[in-house]
Amino acid sequence: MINIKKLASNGLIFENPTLRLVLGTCPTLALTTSAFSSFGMGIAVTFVLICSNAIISMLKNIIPKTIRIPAFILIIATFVTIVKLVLDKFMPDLYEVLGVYLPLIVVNCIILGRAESFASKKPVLDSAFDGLFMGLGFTLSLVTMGTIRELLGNGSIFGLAIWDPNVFSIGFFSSSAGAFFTYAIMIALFNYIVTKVQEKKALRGAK
Amino acid sequence: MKNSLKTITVMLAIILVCGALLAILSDLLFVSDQERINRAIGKIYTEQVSLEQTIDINSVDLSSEANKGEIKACYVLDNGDYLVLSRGKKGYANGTITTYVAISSDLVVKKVVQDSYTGQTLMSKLSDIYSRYIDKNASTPYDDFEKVIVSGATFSSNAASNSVYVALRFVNAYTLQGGQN
Repeated sequence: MINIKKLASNGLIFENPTLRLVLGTCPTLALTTSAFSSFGMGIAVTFVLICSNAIISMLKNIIPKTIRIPAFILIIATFVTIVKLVLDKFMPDLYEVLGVYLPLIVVNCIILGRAESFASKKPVLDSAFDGLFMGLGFTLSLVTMGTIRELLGNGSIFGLAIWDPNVFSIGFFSSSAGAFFTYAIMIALFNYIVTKVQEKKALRGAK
Repeated sequence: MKNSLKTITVMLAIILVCGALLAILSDLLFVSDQERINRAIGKIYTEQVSLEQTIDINSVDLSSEANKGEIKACYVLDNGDYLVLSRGKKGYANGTITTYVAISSDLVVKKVVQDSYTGQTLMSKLSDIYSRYIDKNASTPYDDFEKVIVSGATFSSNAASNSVYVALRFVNAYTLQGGQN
């Protein structure tokens, strides 16, 4: 039976791919200059995660162990290409914003990591839900980071002006160094909070 | 032997299924050149404008401006305007900014729309820079383009200016040589 609650808490909090496992850092650092591009990348990765996890789980008994990695890459690449075609056709603005990072989803560690460690061992539905929650965890982290960087760097959120960037903006947050800084602060804060929560739970359990 | 055969068969089957799926989808979701141009026109003009002629960009020698930028495509629209897709160089970290520049038949910039960029980090600061190129014409000296600067994004401003400047130079050179394709 699927334990959705456990899958959700793992994907969103305890095994959050961006903030706990520190996977998929390339798009995290490069695309979080705005909340819009962060959201776009998050949704694209979530779609690929759900589909590739489901298909890999379906084929886990058919694919020989010796060729599992090339087979996984082929399946992942197919879904990434589908996302690329759909975005180019229907959402050209987002397609342009994501640029080279869209095809690079193929080599995103989160997707291959979940395929290898989860989907190739678990049932189809579990794998699909794992993909969904891992993707949502990735999306939420990226959108949070994108929102902070866009707000402080340009005074807007999702392109909507909150204040005039000429009056107040910290250009540092829009730069690459700002991405590392924001990412580091977010990882530190997130891990501090999660560790505290886990400690409290352990204490309660001991009592 | 049996294992090898299974391995090859499985791999071939995955390749065939994925290949067939992508072949069908790429046909269904194909974006034609015409559609791409129409998207660009839609970003620039509110009224209905259509493409009349595609100019051969190799017919104009713009090598003297090669360090500033390059022309990617140029079209003549049915309202007489030129629509130039140009890439300005010398941006931040040697990056580029590509813009669509609408130039009237009397060689005046009507509108500039950003298409894409590489290596720039402060592009949101440039959101209102493009309106500052409107009404610049073929006789506007390069110095005037250099003065269009957004504080804090100087290099990106430079690439944007270069993009508009080379577009104007291209159309000017094209019309001077008789506008022949």
